[in-house]
Amino acid sequence: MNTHDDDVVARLRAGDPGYPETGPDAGRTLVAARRALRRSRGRRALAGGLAVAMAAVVGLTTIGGVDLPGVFPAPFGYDTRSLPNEGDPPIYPADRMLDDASSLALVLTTTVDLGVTSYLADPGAWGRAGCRAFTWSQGAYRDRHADCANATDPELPFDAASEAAFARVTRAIERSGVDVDRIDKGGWGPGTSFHLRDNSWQWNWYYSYVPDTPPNAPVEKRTQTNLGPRLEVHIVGNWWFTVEPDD
Amino acid sequence: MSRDRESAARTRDQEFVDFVAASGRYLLRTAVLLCGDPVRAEELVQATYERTYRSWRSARDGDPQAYARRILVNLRIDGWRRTRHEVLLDPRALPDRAGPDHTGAVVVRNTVVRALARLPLTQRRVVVMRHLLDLSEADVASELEISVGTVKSHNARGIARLREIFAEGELR
Repeated sequence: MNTHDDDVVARLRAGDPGYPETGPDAGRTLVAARRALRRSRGRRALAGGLAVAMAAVVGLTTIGGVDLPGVFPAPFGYDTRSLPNEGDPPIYPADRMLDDASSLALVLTTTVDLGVTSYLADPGAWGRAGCRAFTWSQGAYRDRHADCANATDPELPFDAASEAAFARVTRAIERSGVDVDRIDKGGWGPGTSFHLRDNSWQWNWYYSYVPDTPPNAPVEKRTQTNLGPRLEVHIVGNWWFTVEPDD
Repeated sequence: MSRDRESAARTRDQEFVDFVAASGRYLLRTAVLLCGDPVRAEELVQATYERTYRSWRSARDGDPQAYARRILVNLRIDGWRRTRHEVLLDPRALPDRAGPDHTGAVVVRNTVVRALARLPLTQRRVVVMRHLLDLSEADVASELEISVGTVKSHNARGIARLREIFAEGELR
């Protein structure tokens, strides 16, 4: 190091915020890591299966065994108009989504009963306070500390009634066993969305209840966004599961 | 699952839990120095642990903390998190009033963290690893997969920029 830089380095070291008082919860980190590993293995298995199927299709096409409709693009090719490719959106197995939707029906009942249009519960960590925001039939409320609210945010601090209503939704979520940290009605497309707590900066996942979903709704809707593919899966009845790139 | 495999999985999980308990504060500090945002730092550390767990056998065979640090510093550090988008985290837009005394708020107001956040990412990585994690130039080069000469030049430019930031009082 150039001695000329000593003063800057000394200032860096003197002002270093140091270590946090606590680290991440080891048990929860393990659970999340195991879950991520299972997801990764599932995706690899799916990709492997698709690769085998693709190879079979390409092979059969080459020998004239299968007539494919339309243009069949090169499987690993791209053109200059291609959007950034974030890979195939990871989704749960169908039975898991069915279970979750069934469990979330109880949460939906609670939100309808209370007239909830927005629920956010960030538990906080590492000395940072949690952040709650809640809009229901009696008004809009938010924790007013500096980590949760800007001075210009219009929401009121929680009062006793909104505390109780918020706790009721939280209990319903806990009973459902689905790790939801945010609920929005009308904010993310039609219906009510139940957002899953995650640690991915690549994807967002949420279940949604969309009333009056037609019986002939497509099993899957795939759209391309600027950041990558967005996938909506019709689970059953009015329930959908969506995964989309995190912006 | 056979009894042996079950036992191996339990051992692996216990080792990993012990590792998280031992390395969590170090990695969180590293992450916040790199990204300047305690919330984002938690995400980065979680992603780091997920990847480390996936390759636990390789990680534990050497220095697991160095293994995890290498993953962390090469993650996509700068990003935008949607779930707390209402909160201002731009260093120049931080509220003047001191909030409740919890570490997250203290960190985002820290002068060094805010100054580092204004460096280009590669310079920031090098300066943090070199001067706040006390790694040698060779170790920094190895972990970032760049040459020692590139480490030196990024370090020189980063320090020069920090000197300007500190001197000009841009963070008032």
